Amino acid sequence: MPRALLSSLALLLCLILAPLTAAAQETGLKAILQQYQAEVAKPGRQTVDALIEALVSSGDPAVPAFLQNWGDREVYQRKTDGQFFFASKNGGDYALSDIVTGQLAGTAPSAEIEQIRPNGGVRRVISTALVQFQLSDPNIANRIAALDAIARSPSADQIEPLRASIETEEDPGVLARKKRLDGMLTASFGATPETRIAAIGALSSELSVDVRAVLNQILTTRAGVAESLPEGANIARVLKPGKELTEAEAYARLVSADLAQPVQSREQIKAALTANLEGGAVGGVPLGQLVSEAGRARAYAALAAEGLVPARVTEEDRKAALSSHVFYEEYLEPDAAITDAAKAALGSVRTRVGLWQAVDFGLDSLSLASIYFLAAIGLAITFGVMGVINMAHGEFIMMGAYTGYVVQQIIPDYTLSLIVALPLAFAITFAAGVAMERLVIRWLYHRPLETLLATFGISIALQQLAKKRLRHPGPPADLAALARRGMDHQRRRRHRQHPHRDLRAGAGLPVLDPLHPQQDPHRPRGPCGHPEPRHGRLDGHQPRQDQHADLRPRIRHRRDRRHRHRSLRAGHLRDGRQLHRAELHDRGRRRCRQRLGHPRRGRADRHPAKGHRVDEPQQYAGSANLHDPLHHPVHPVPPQGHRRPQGPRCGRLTMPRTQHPPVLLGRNIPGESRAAARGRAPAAPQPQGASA
Amino acid sequence: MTSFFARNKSAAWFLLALALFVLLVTVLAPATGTGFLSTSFVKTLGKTLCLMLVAVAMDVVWGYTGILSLGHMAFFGLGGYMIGMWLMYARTELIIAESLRAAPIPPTPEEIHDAIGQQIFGVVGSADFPWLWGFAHSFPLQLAMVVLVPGILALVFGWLAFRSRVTGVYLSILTQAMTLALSLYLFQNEAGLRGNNGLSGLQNLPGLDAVPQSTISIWFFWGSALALGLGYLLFAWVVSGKMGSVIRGIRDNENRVRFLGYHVESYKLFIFTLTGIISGLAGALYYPQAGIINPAEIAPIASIYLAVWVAIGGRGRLYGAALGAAVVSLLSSWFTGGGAPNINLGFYTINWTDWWLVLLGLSFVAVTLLAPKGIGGIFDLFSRRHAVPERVGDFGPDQGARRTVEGEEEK
Repeated sequence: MPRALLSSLALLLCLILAPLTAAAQETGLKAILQQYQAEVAKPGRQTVDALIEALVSSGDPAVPAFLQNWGDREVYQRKTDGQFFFASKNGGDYALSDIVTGQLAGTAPSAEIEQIRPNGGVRRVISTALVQFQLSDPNIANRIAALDAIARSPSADQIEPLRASIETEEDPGVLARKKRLDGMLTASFGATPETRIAAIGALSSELSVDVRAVLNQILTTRAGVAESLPEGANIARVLKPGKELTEAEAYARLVSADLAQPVQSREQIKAALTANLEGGAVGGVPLGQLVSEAGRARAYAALAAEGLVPARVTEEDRKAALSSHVFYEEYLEPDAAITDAAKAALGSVRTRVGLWQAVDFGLDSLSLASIYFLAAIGLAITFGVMGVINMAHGEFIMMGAYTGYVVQQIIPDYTLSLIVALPLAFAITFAAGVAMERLVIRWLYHRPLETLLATFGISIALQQLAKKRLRHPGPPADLAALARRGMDHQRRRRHRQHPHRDLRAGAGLPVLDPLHPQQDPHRPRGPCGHPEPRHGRLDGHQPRQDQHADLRPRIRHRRDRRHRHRSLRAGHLRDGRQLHRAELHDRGRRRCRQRLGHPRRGRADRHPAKGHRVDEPQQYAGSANLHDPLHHPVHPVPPQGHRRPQGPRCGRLTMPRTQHPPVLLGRNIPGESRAAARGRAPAAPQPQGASA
Repeated sequence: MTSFFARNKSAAWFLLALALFVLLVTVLAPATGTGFLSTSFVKTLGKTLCLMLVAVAMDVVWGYTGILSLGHMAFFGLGGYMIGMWLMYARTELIIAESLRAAPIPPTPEEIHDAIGQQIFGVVGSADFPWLWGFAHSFPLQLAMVVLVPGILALVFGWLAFRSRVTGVYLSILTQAMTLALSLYLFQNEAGLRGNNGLSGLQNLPGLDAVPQSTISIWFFWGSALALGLGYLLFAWVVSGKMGSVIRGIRDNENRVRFLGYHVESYKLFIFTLTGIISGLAGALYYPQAGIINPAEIAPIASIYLAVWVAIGGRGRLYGAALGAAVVSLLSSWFTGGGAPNINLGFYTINWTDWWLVLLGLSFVAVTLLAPKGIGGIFDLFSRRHAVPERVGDFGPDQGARRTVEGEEEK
């Protein structure tokens, strides 16, 4: 009761003081906060919507900053009068700053203020509400970040704020992106089928990965099995056991849908027989007869007749069950008109992607063919005209390649290094050719098969010299580290130079584990019955750095890759030409999604210093943070002197909160110290066009 | 027989030397003698004998018939694969039967077969036996495959190649392509021979778990020596006499032999197939000693090394090829095994594991340029053997009628 009295007193005070402060604030943020005081202090997922609605519709410019800080648990409530403030720790007390103006509004000891901690569900609601402010944020980076966020997790309620922000958008690039995103959202979540079909039709002229992901999402199917095709379902296709579906798979679907009994495996039958073994016989069949499948079948049938085990599912039962059911795939989207439109749009997108891939592949082949032609024409001259079989021809290619490499180490500029390397490579290989002819080949003109032997000797000597002198950067050669460094360098460079880099950045819809598409029989299927998405990142997967798309865009990568292989004997990564490129790893060919590096390498060596995304240890967010001396309920001041590390990970899991300054969207200024960032008033509005 | 050895003194000397060597190793081996040699070195010596046998076969096909085949190591590897299939199957069968015997219900044949498949092909993510393994359960049948598979491959390939009159360098490239294709095919898991894992555990003979490896190693050494002796005799017989003259004629001038009325293709096909079969047998003796075989053993580089051994040993004489293979492979294992001491030059230390290949390559060049007769040429210095009477000038009406030096095309 005293508290209610106190708060009503405070309200009275506010009312009395009202004419003294700006009138806009009364109708704006502060008024709403006071109106919904209880809700702000203890927001609930179900009830917070009304408050958010009120805040958003108020139009107060301080609302976005408030929402941001609210979600980040930076808002504190003063217990004496129920007012809300932003607060930062200042010695033993908290420095309070005003929510609207950001002005300093006195200090308070920590016992007098209470931190407001919205739970996870509420914070999601808050961040959704924030998107619409970010979409019209004056800072262009924030607008792009908001678009990225929408593309990552699209939902129906983002359409309205997005459309509203299109009208005020000034930057043409962002405008185009917004319109595109609007089209994609409309295709997925449009209000009426007509608008969705129109949006899908507009998407068919696009090529990008995220558009294909949207279309694939619309065309997601669910495997189904029933006695007859269900009425009114949007059937993608009907699968015939033995044709589109193996009989084993079909029967497994029946079993998992509880429409049939599982077939007893040999192991199960044996286990059942073992369990019912009595006095050297099972069901009257002596043990000696159980060494054949027929004898076991008889014993099992006897057990089944006694009712001890379930009856054996015979081949006839299986066939009958398969023929009396229909297997189909059903679109999750109930409207057939929409799925038809999406199918047509995806078809036309795929056709054009295929065309571009063909062009890309053609150019690749042309480039590779030119290199091979250059190499082969030299061999043709030496063999055809001179009658000399030069087995060391490949080593001349290697010399040229190493010349280019070494020059590039000295001259970092790509163009200049090429200009220098071309004549230099010519000179070096010319000198090597002259030396070889004068020293060796001259004596063997009449013995062509022996030129083969001598030049083979030169070849292995040169290879070994190159490995010895040019491969190892310094002693001692830790082969494992060397291999790792080589791979990471290649990965990084591939990532940097990927021409479709923009396409690789996110925008995939949530999919199942793309590494093991076969594991889930109910995995979404594409219109052709294949597990979707099919082709690595091209069809909307989240890209992974250590995987390849089947589209290999640059001849440069292939060229490097061709000369590097794991020696099958020693397990070392080596450069060389002894093995064909197709001998990499275990298959004859490198498959789609197969890793290039060591087959068992992967997660273990991911490291942020290499540019990998690594999940950072989460901050401990429990309510009783007993290991945190700063927030200890009994001893809030850290003990002086040496303190033994305690708790999980030697106490490092519970880092003091002061190490994490509040992160405002896009407002962390690089170079400014964290303490300074902390001391700054967090709600200060960004000046217009600061970084646009 | 006396007349045969009288005509082929080198064969008698070679067999005598081989017998003495076998005696020496038997006396020094751990299982039968003093134990001066380690088990692994006895295995190395046994493997070297197998390599000598395949080198002798290579010499017949290259040094005598003039076909530079870069495919004989593929036949060697195929022989190894064929015997390896039986070794793996039989040993896994014993292990499986042992483990299933403990169950209260005795196993059925199908159960055992499936369990073996699971055990062998689990590593490539499969459990079913490919058709290739149809005979793997039976030792005699699989032994027949050791002969038949390389033999039929050589027969078919040789028939197609020789019928089209592919000769010289082009034939070398063709055989190398066959080798490469075969090795690439076997690298696939779908080929049914466990992909790049290959077949392993071949050193454990089924049913002989109680016998120590030292005893098994000397058995294989004896077997390899016997095979080398018999193979040497066979090839010495093939290249002597009338047939030897014909195939050497094919080497020196194929068209002239053809116009004399000999069916050149049949001779070449016979030699190619016979040497292919002997290579397969040598492989079947080699890989149980090596313990593991995988498709990298079939890669073309192995066949090129085979040609290099023969060239270093000396083409056109069987003991030369055998010596070349023995010297180069033993030196190679000595240098790369860390046996050779490093040489400290003051400013640089020569580490032989790194520099051995450079030395080998340069020695090829040196042998080719300076000693075209190879190691075997040393024996000419003190054997007073002169195949051709020393005469000045040409022998006949035409320059090419008879050659003063065998194996050289005159220009």
